[in-house]
Parts: sequence; structure tokens; C-alpha cells
Amino acid sequence: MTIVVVGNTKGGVGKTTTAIELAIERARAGRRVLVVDGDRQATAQKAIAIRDEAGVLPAIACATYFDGPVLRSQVLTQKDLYDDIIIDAGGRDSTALRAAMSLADVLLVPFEPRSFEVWALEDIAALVDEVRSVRDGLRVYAFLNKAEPGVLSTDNRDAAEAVADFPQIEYLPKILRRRKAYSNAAGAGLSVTEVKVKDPKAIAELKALIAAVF
Amino acid sequence: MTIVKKAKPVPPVKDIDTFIQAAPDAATKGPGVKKGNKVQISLTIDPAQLQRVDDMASELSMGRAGLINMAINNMLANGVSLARPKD
Repeated sequence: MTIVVVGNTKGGVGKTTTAIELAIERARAGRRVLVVDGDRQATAQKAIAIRDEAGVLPAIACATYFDGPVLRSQVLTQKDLYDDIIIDAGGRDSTALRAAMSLADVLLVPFEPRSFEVWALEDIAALVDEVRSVRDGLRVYAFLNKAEPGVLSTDNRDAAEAVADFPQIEYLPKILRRRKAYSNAAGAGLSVTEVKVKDPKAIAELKALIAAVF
Repeated sequence: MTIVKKAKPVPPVKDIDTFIQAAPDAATKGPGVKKGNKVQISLTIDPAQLQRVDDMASELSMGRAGLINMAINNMLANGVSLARPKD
């Protein structure tokens, strides 16, 4: 059983899209998956609802808990029913994000190769310090999301190197580049592997990320 | 030589509940009962003292609560006077 929280105190870095893609791919691999939406915008819940309405299989279980203590107690209650729990925690410091960090095995931090997003890593690093003072065993990975195209991008390289300033966070060298395939698929409640017109690069990137996280 | 950055002190957290409730969106539970922008508290007072408060409030055409709040404001602004009460 693995609990992964896709979280960052910075908004707009692609947490929900990542959480949806991870959850669907794990379910397609035969795992029993629960998506927990801890964001008050409930975007993950809406995406899963769209998937349900379209009758796409495998169906994904989804629960929404905005309140941190409720999220924590509910996930602890339900964790034995699932193989993987993917928690999408909203783009700010919240009780839901903290509760998710208090019980997750992995905190996966998507960040864009932009100055503001790199600066914001300091906030999530501070939260990691705090939560590690009351619990053990939390693995924290940051990966570049919505990265620039091209393997020689200096923005990508500089942003990746900036993670070294935060010893609490391990840089995961698996990059999801800025591709329409991700947002289009997640918006329809689908994985990039499920859409009709497939983007092989997006599929390869996602699979590499999943292999590194789980 | 590798320069190691000075580690920032980790803020002390007592337990997981304290960590979770430290989030900005945590419901804050203060003392008293909220009444609009104010908080209702209970106050025990000597009956004779209360009578004097009510008499003064009446002289000033004020309510009891108004006078008590005015006295608190005055004390907070100017400090506590330890002068002997007038006979």
C-alpha cells in the first residue's frame, strides 16, 4: 500500500493533472486506487466524475476531504481497502496538505522551471522539516512539470539544480514537459495512454515518472 | 572544498495534530462565544461593586457593558492606576 500526496504550496504547477494521471495509470496496472481530493476547488473530483459519466474503465474511487483532520482519519480508515492512495492537496498551505503529509509515504512536488516556482520550494521544504519532526519515513521528491521542450533547456537545468538548495527534497530526474496531451487527457478524466490521439512522448514521460515514484 | 549551507532551525512541533492545525485555514478556537465581531465572556463580580458600576453607568447615561468596555479601553491605553480609591 502506497500513499502518495501530490502537493506544493504553490498553485498552478500541475498537481491535479499529475495526481489524475498517476491514479489512472496505477488503476490500469490493476491496482485498487483511491483518489483523495484535498483541494477546495475539487478539480480532481470533477475529472473523475467526467470519467464516471463517460463510463471509462477502470473506474476510479474518489473522495473529497478539505478538512485536514477529517482527511487524515478517513484515509487511515480506508487505507487497507486500496493498493494506492493518491492525494491531490491544493496549491497553498492548508490543513489538508499537512494532514496528507502526515500520513503519506511519498510527497511528490511538481514544479515548473520558473523563478517563482523555484522560490516557492522554500515553503514546502519548511513544511517538510516540520512534519519530519513528528513522523518518520516521508520520502520527498520534486520533479519538473510543464518543463521547457528540448533536452538542452537551460531553464530546466537551472531549476533542477536549484533543488539542491533544499536538502529536504530529492530531485527526481523525470521530466514532464509542457504538452497539451496531459491537460487534454486529465480534463476528460483520462490518462494520456487512454486518449484516442496518443502522444508517445507524453506516455513515455508519464511511465518513467511512475516507475520512479512507486 | 564543498561549502555546506547552515541548516535552518526546525520549528518545534509537538505532534501531528499541532502540525495540521498550524495551517492558515485551520479553524481557530478562541475563548468565549462569538457575537458578531465581539466575543461574549462571563465575568464574576462583587454585587456591591456591580451596583457601583451600574450607578456610574446610569449617571453617564451608558449601559453596563459600555462602561465596562470603556474602563477596559482606558486601562489598556493608560495602564493600571494603583492610587487609593476615594472614600
